[in-house]
Amino acid sequence: MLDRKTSLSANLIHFCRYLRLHDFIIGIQEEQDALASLQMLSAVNTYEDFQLALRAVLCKTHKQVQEFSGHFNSYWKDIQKALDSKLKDKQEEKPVQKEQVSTAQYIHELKSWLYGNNQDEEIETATYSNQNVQSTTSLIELQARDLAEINRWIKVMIQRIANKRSRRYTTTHRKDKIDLQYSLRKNILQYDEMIQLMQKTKKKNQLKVVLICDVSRSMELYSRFFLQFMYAFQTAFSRIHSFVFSTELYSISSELNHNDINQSVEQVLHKVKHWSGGTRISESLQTFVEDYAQKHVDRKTLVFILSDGWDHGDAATMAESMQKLQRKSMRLIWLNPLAANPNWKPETNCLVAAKPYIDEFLPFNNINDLKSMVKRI
Amino acid sequence: MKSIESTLDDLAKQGYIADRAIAMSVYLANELQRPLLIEGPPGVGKTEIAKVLAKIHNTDLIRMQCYEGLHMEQALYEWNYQKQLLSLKMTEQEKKSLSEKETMIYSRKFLFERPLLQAISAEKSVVLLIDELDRADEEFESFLLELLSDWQISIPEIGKIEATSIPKVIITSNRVRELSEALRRRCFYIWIDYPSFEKELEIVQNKLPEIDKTLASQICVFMKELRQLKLDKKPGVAETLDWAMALAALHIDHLDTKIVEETLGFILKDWKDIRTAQMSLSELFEKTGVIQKLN
Ligand SMILES: Nc1ncnc2c1ncn2[C@@H]1O[C@H](COP(=O)(O)OP(=O)(O)OP(=O)(O)O)[C@@H](O)[C@H]1O
Ligand SMILES: [Mg+2]
Repeated sequence: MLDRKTSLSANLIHFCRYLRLHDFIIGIQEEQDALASLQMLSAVNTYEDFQLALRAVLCKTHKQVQEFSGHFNSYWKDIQKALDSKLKDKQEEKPVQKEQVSTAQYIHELKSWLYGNNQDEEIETATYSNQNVQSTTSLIELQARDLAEINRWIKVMIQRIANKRSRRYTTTHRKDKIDLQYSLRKNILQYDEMIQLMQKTKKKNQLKVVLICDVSRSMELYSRFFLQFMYAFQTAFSRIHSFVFSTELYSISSELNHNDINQSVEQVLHKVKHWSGGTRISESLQTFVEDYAQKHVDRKTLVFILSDGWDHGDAATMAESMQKLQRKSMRLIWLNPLAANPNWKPETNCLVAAKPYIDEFLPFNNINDLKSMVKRI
Repeated sequence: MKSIESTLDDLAKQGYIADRAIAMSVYLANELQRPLLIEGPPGVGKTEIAKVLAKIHNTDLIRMQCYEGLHMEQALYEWNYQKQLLSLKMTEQEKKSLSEKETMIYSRKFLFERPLLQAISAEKSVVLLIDELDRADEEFESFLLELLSDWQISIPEIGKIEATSIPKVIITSNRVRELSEALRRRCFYIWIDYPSFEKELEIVQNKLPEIDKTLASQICVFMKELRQLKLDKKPGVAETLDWAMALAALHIDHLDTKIVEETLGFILKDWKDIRTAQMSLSELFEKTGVIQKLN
């Protein structure tokens, strides 16, 4: 039973991901719910209860309820079989490691997401028995493909912005500068090396970016995607300042500046105590305008707000802050994870107030949105 | 509620027939302190869960019935203007500054406390039923979401009021409009469909222990078949119970075409539906008759 339990929590997280690929809405909260729900079960509970418990906490719509047992069976039956054969084969047993899920898992996911998912694949296959890989490979492939694609598009975007920068270099006549456009054309440098080189050279470009990301509870599902996005942005582009807010605004630029994404995320998590609490968009933006805009925003700054706008704060304050931000910046772009939903209307008073001052209002919750955004920038 | 078993027991003791899946959700929502969102067609026992839950926990049920155009004021609080005016009149003689008077009349005892405020200010955790949330608009829904995560409300004239106890929340919806993703994620979700024959029979026998067994099963088969027809308003369990009660009162021990025709009004409220049912009555009846032969 113990052995089963260890791989259980690891597999649980993977099962959550599997569901996510099938249109289940699953964030950290849901993963924690799933773990918590299993802790409520005891030895007397059956395999059926195990399924019911997960169904109770992971399904949020009628459709999901209907589809759940299909997903459950195709995922867990295999693992069950695999585990049984593993338990029989005593030699294969390894010492049980206690699992720390939540943040560790979160960081791990973020990292694998960002770095093309290589380590992830290892871990994932490790939890399956080798005899039973077949039915799960499609899952792994699918995930790897998804994640790699996200990664790729973030890179493309960075590259585009970097290209803007490189154009400026070619106009300078100083000799200590590398002509990046030339390099590109000649294809001498690999993309990654190029980025490294660019980071080493002095950054003289004028374009700046400010990212302001909502990490309140309603945004939970998206904030990990956004955080990764912010980290990726910041590693490749130095004139960037990143902020997060829920009930208050925090600058997280220095946290994201770590070479190690683990440390970055740890620090952000530590700093943002109100992580996934309520939302105060208008107050947070007001703080930004009053305390940071002067320093970080000018006519060459792209300002991104990443939020679902789910707040009923003071509309007047909101409008005022948005107006100031728009005036000061080059472009004010609002990325909204909900906007992709055809039934969604921007009706919270904060969004209604903000709307007139947004230059671009774009849906943003998956790879396709990322792609089309990159194309517009 | 210590386990699913005991939850099933508790529900059964209060006359609520639930399958293991429902019991599991009720149990987990209670243990992990999460609102329970219940969706399903009309009359299948959504509201009933909240009522039963209040009995199980031996606590009050506070019901917030939602409707189109529902405002925060009706859900939270309203100022008792009359009482405020009266109080101003009564203290006319006293030399109080304007601001003193203001503090006096804008205090909690001049509030009409509406369901949500009542629910969070109760000493002992109550069951808060937010019934048919899909009828209220999105604005209300997002306000509710905030309340469900912060457990406090702010009244401009008074300030913040924090919950003295966290209610056990049941939200129901008939899906007139889809509830937001954010709200769904805050809750645990149950879908209750029309009952299976066995479940409905259990409900009927539980509510009407005296009812003839053959009659009860005929009623339930008939209802099950009836719901297969193309009807505007499919009958729920409530209608089954009404009908069963009426038939039992008439001392009827089995169904026949005549009785069904005469009492169709108990189960169908829409005249078009009644006509549809009448037209397929013999077919429906054939299926019901099978049970009779088996018994
Ligand atoms: N599982 C059940 N066990 C016992 N009684 C039930 C059950 N399901 C339904 N009932 C009975 O059916 C009647 C209708 O149930 P209820 O009012 O809860 O329906 P509802 O789903 O809330 O419908 P609506 O959507 O119209 O509000 C109640 O009187 C209740 O006693
Ligand atoms: Mg009801």
